[in-house]
Amino acid sequence: MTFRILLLLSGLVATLSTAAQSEEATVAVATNFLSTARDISAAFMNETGHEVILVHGSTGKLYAQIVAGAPYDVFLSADADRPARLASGGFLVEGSPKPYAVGRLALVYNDASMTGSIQDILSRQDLRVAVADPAVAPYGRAARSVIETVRGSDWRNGIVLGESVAQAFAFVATGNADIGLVALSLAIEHADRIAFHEVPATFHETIRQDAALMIRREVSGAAHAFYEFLDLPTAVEIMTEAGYGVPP
Amino acid sequence: MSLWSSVWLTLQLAGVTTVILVVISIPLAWWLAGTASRIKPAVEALTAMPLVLPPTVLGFYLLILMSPASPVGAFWVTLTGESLTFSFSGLVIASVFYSLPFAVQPLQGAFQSVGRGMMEAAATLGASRWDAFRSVALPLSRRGVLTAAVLSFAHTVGEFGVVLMVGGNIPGQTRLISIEIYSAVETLDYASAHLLSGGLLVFSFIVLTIVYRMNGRGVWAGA
Repeated sequence: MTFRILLLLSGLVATLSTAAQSEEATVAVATNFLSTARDISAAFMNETGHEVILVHGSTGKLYAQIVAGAPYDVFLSADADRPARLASGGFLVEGSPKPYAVGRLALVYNDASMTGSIQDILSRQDLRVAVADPAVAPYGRAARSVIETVRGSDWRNGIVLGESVAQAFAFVATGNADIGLVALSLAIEHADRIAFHEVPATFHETIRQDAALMIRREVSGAAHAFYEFLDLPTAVEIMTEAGYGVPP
Repeated sequence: MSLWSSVWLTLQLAGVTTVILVVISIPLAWWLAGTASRIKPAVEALTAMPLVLPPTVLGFYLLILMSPASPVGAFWVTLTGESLTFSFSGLVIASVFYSLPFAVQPLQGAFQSVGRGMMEAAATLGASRWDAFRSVALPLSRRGVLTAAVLSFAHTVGEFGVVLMVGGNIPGQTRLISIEIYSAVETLDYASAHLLSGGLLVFSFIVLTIVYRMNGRGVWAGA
């Protein structure tokens, strides 16, 4: 009796694991890219029949999880630094990482009557400005350099830091901050409730976002396919519409 | 150095919060200990809610409530000229809510154990209610007061989720130890993370040992 149950169970486990091997990819994605990644993976699942499981978090946290053995197949980082570190740590498949998107910034604000250029608005000292923490988030670093070009090295006045670009955006959306420098993709996604200016790409260093394909004990066809899918026209079109630049 | 500014800020916040909490919790706990009111269970539930709710719930509502776009937040702006979110005052308010049960519950327990007999004895000796409270109940409850203060202080030091949501991470104003640790881990600065985390570990062990020593006289030990 016990034996038969064991047999049944092992059969079940075997079926489940083969299914997981050939059909599923777990993709860790930086929070700023989450909604775009959702659209891309929907298109991917539609075209290929593979399953994609999205896990999101800040780039730094996902990096730490991967180093600690988290079972992710693909990592869509918000920077180029963390994937490069993974590569030199021997976590990645030969030839990975690669750039998949270029981040853009937007100046978001609640008060639709606010006038003036980006420089005018940023030089005002009476506004509360939300940005992602430059120490943690690549978008925060870019936002800081934009503010520094306008204000000089004394950039901190009225600045509040979100732990991610999404939190910085939420500070503005809830009326707690007057303006914010956040990912353009967030501004476009919530264009119905917030006003924004696109920040010209020349105002800051390029926010290059790299994708990494992890070495896993069991090679997942879905993971490889998803990694390749990022360069295909379908994915590129989704990213462009969402407010990302195409890597050169 | 920014590490020490966050340590100093955390101690300031915990200190201010503790004073406020002790001041408002003593009358509240006294009322809860003595009342037979029908709304008592509801008030008790309200004060205990921060124990069971995730800090994100408190953080979310405070973010909405303290925003200059809300009536409460706007009133504060006209009163003081600065907004509640991302300010030290905002963190004090958040911490008072967050640590309330840690002040009220030990006090209520202590007041309840004073017992009716003591208060009646004081009354027969001609003490007014206020006099009996001040010279009988409060001295008998001093361990409860101390426990409430120490726990409020320690719990505020350990605050994270609420501060992350309404603090805005401003050095010297809202960047507390727990946020500093979070950022240090995110940026792979494990040296700072170890320093601060180790410090908190030792601190909380010492504090809790003190609390248990104050209260943990053995059941069999003589009075």
